[in-house]
Amino acid sequence: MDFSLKISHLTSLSAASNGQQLGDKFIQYSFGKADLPALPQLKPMQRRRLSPFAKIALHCAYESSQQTNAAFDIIFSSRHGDLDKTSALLNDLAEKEPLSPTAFSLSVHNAVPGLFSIFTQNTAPSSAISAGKESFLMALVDAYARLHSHNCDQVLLIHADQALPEFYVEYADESQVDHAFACIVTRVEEAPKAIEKQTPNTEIIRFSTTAHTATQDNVANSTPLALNFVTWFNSSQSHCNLSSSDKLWRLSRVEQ
Amino acid sequence: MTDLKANLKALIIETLDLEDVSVDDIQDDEPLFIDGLGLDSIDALELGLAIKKTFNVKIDANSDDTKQHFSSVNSLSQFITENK
Repeated sequence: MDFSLKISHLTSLSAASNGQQLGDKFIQYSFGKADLPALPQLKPMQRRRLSPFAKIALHCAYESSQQTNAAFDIIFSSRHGDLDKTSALLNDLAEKEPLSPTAFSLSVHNAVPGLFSIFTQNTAPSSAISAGKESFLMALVDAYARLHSHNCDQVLLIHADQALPEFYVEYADESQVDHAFACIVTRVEEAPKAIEKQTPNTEIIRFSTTAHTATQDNVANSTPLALNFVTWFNSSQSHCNLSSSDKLWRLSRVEQ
Repeated sequence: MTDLKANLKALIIETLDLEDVSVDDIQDDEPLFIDGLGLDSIDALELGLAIKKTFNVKIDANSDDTKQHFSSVNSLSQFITENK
């Protein structure tokens, strides 16, 4: 793959300062209840059912989208979705307990874009993607397809993942961090208008992949790719390599 | 206010995560759904489940009476007392 996209209005949240050692291999970083975003945009009756997962995702979605007035499609990505909620429901099923209707109603992978579209009365299409460690990169592939088929001119990308619930921690293959980010994705025009350059913190980024065989060393300390991407985006480095199980993603800033 | 009504209000607040609502904010005769407290259909299911678990009463989801039983704290407490 080799494509370029314009990315702006990036907002992110990460629990990376609340580290707690899990066994001898992984460090888990989770938000405490008091650290979660307050989401003052929502009415209390809308806010009350939101899980920590939904709160961090919606916070970023609001922060990134409030800076644009134009219409946008929504693409949401997450490797595991709201696994705290899903695993609690699975646990109730296993114990033959009745399921919580509220939890069940919000247990689909597209719950976050669904809630966001209801709260903001955005009737544009949305999709929800899960693609392992590459989830947010595949969301960008979806964004590219939508933008270049001219189905829309702007995409709001929302990505969120959380530290695995205790039950699943033994399957962890990267460090466990509650995190979310959102950004606005637009086409790279052949002849950019001068005015477009004036949006601050806008980057044209080229994404290209090469096949590779992942080395297994140092997997325990690897950070979720979305967090690596956010750190790089906010840095001044020109390139960044993101390694998934079968390919190497090379990200580079394109001079505007 | 009877203990049952106070317990019911506490159960409603806890089960439905009603931020910023206290037991004193819920009136005995106030409608629970749409008007009044402003609960919705998912709340009705969640509350039905919690009442079934807490008070060990059977609730018929398809009965027209059920809608009446869930209209206020007064009617809920009467329903629980009669069906315990």
